[in-house]
This record gives sequence, structure tokens and C-alpha cells, in this order.
Amino acid sequence: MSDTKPGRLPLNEFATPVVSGLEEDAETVGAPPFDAATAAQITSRMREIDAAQQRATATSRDVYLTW
Amino acid sequence: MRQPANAFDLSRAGALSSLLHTYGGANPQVLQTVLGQAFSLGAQTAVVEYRYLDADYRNEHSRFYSTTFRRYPSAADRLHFFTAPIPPELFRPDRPARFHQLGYLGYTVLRPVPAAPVGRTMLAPPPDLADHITCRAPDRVNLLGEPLELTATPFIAQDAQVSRCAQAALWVTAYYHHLAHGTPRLLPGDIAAAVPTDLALGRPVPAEGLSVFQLSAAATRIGLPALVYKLDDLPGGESLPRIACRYLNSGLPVIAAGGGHAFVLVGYRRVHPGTAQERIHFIRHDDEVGPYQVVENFLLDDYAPWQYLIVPLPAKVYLSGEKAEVLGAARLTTSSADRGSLAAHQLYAAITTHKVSFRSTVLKSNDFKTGLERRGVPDPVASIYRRMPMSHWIWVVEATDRAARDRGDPCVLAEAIIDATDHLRDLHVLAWRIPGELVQWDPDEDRLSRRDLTAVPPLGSVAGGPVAAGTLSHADV
Repeated sequence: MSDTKPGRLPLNEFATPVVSGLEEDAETVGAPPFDAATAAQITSRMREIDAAQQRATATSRDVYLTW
Repeated sequence: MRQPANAFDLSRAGALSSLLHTYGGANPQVLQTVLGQAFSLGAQTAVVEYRYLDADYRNEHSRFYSTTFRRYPSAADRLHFFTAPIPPELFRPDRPARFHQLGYLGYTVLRPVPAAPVGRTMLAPPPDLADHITCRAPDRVNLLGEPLELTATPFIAQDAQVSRCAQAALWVTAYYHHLAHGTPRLLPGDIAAAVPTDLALGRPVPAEGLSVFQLSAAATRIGLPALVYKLDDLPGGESLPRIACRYLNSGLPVIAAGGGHAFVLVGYRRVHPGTAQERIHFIRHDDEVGPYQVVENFLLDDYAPWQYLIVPLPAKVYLSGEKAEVLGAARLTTSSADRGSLAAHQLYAAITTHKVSFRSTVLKSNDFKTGLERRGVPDPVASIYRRMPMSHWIWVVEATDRAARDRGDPCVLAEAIIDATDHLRDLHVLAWRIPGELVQWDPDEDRLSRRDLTAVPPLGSVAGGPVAAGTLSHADV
């Protein structure tokens, strides 16, 4: 990572970097977070969760809390 | 000049009855519960602060009680409880009253409304429940010039005019978030005004109750947009205890609706963990009964069947716990399968055989970072997490060893950290740790950074305290 990226001061004799403790992995730049099969499973599960929320919304007008 | 306060010796027979007779009015049940709980906590002294200008009651008075033919005073009284006996110097006019070493247990504001006397209440939880109340926040009090502090869960009884059960549940939630997270202080009139009355028939004042839809809409309008769960139609693999405990573990009150009533879940406890008799006891604030009520079996509750859970969330927690758990579980499962080490493969095997369950907790990243030491996280891991840029709110999805969890031992084998504001169509895990490896995703550069780790022992959970039952199986993700 460049030391002159916006938001970071250039290193000079007054500055010492605080290390992250991690090693950058250049091969992973832009790589998808999951393989296609796992990504499809995640998407399917998210849609199931969304659908349950939508069904809850649809019926919530009919349940009154009057106590 | 009328005295500013009176001290009651609660150890004397009849003292509690005298207070109940004086303040119970036409509807003494909730006050009876509050007084009984204070006495059970060991209260020996009650100090009644007269002519207390309570913001909540004053607001109710402005909105409703000042408009009626029948007159209601605009000032309330406030009752404070202490474990110590009354100190004699309290009655000496030449000395300031001192309360800070008297074992403060909390207070209850007493509305001068006979039909609804119990107003804002902060009372320490019963000792046997204290460790299981996950939604507690610190409050500061000033009594005759003396600052006092306590940690409790706010409670209020509905007044049945400005607020019914649903508004009272929202008030409890809003005041808790105010104390715990610095959200705006909202008064009963603010909550009543947030209810969209054009979505129902009837009039906002006197309150006639709300639909679940109105309750959810009001939560959004007060800055705590809610997730709503229909309990007889949940996504596969989810259950009432799983969902409720996920948010309670995060210190977020959960409003439950059933039997025409709404009440607030503020904690839970597991009994007989790891056995066939394992049960979840929920702890609720029921505005028609009192604070810290134990529900031993929600299926057989007076309000059964519970129909909905409504979870008001901090506005910037965009991602639900269910979705965070899907993502985090997938990350930990696939990473442990891919990592070529024995320990990682053992984790993968434990996940696929359900010996590991996933637990998801939302918390502020600063609290996650400051809590690392307390949880026994080794320095090489803690130092990386502490320096890592994170969103303000994060979901932490933990892979927990179920057997260790049931024994009450440290049980977290791996965790995934998820940005609670992440884009729903481009979800990434900010960082994750599995045996032998810690990985961070940099959203600015869209690249990963890694560090190999030596063996990390099972850690304590970010949620602390009790743990919810149930697993999310590998097949679910």
C-alpha cells in the first residue's frame, strides 16, 4: 500500500508507521469473497430471510396490542 | 414549609403497606410488585422525595392530565430505596443529607394518578437474576444534592391514556438506548406522537392500543427501526429463543407481542444446559405486572402464543443478526475447510457434525476492542484486532464448542467480524480468525491481509453471560 494514498501523510524522518501486524496478500485483490456455490447458498438463504420479513410485515396490521 | 422528603423505616411492620395504601390508588398491583421487589432486595429504608418534577410525568401531564376536568397535580413524588437503616444525621438540619453509603437500590416515580401510579422506575434486579439481565444501563440520580448511581433496566407502567402497553414497551426500549448508547431522551408524548395514527382507526389520545405494524413504524420514527419476526412463520432453522437470545446477548431489548399484549424481554437464563431438561427462562418487563418477571415456559405463558418479536435496533445496524450469521458461518466453514492445518480441519469437522454452534452478537467495535483483554484474547490476536479499522457497529459471529459452553467454560474457537452497515448485495467479512490464521479484508483496496497464528485456546464470548441454545447447521448455509 502506498504511503502517499489520500488521507495518509508521506513517511519522513518524523514519522514511524504503526504496523498492522498482517501481511498483505496481493493475489487476493478483487477476488470474490466466496466461491460460486457458497455464494449461491448465501443468496438463497438471504432471500428466505427477506421473504419471512415481508410476510411478517403483511400480517402485522391485523394484530392489535390493546392491554 | 413542607418537608422536602420523608424517610420510612421499612423494617417496621406495616411500613410497606402504608406506602402501598398512600400511593397505590385505584390500581395498586404494579406498585405492590415494585415494593415487594425492593423489600426482597433488602431495602430497609425508603426516602420519599416530594414535589419531584419528573420529565416523563410532566410530559404526560402536559399532553393529557392538564386537559381534563378532574384535576391532577403537575408534580410527582419519587421513592428511593436503600439497604441501610435510616442514619440519624438525616434529620439534623445543620448537615447535608448523605446517601451514598446507604446501599442504593433504585427509585420509582409515583404519578399522582390513582389509576396508574407507577412512572419511571429504575430498580436493581433480584440477585438471582442479575447475571442474566443483559439489557442493563447506568443511570444517575440526584437526591437532596447527593449524586447516586445504579445500573438497572428502565421500567414504566402504562398510564392507559397517553400510553398503552405498546407505547410503554417503546418507552422502556428508548430510555434504555438513551442510557446505554446516548440516543435522544424521549418522553411518553414523543412516543405517542411517533405512532402513525392514519394507519388505523381510533384516536391517539386516549390511547386505544396499537397494531404491530404501528408499533414498528413508531420505532422507526423514534430512531430505532425495528426488525419484525412473525413467530409462526420464521425462516428455516430459526426459532423464538434463537432470535430473542441473539439480540438479548447483544444487550438489545426485544419486544414480544402475544395475547393482545406487548412486553419487553430484558434477559434470559438457561437452566439444565446440555440435558434433555434444558430450558430458556425469559425475563421480562411487563408494564401491567412489574419489572424482572420470569417466564419459565413461554409456550405456556399467560400471553401465549407469542405472535411477534419486534426488535428496535440502533439505526446504523443495517444488517440483521440472521443475515450476519449466515455470512459469518459460511466464512468460518469454508475457511476452516480450505486451510491446510489439522486444527482448522478439526474445526470444520466439528461444524459439520454440529459439535460447534454459531452465535452472533452485535456490539460497538470499540467495545469489542476494549473487551479483548477481559476475554483472555492472546496479545498477538488482540494487537491486530485493536489496530484494525472497523465500522462503529459490528456483528461478531462466533463458532462455539457446545460442550464447553454447556460446562460454562471458554468456548469460542473462531470468529468472523462483519460490518453492520455493509451492502446487502456485496457482503464481505471484515476479518476472521480460525485455528492457525487471522485474515482481514481491506474494503479500500479490496484485498486480504493475513497472519499465521500459534495455537489460541478457546476464548470467552463477546456476549459474556448466558448462551442461547440451538445450532445453525452447515447445511443451512
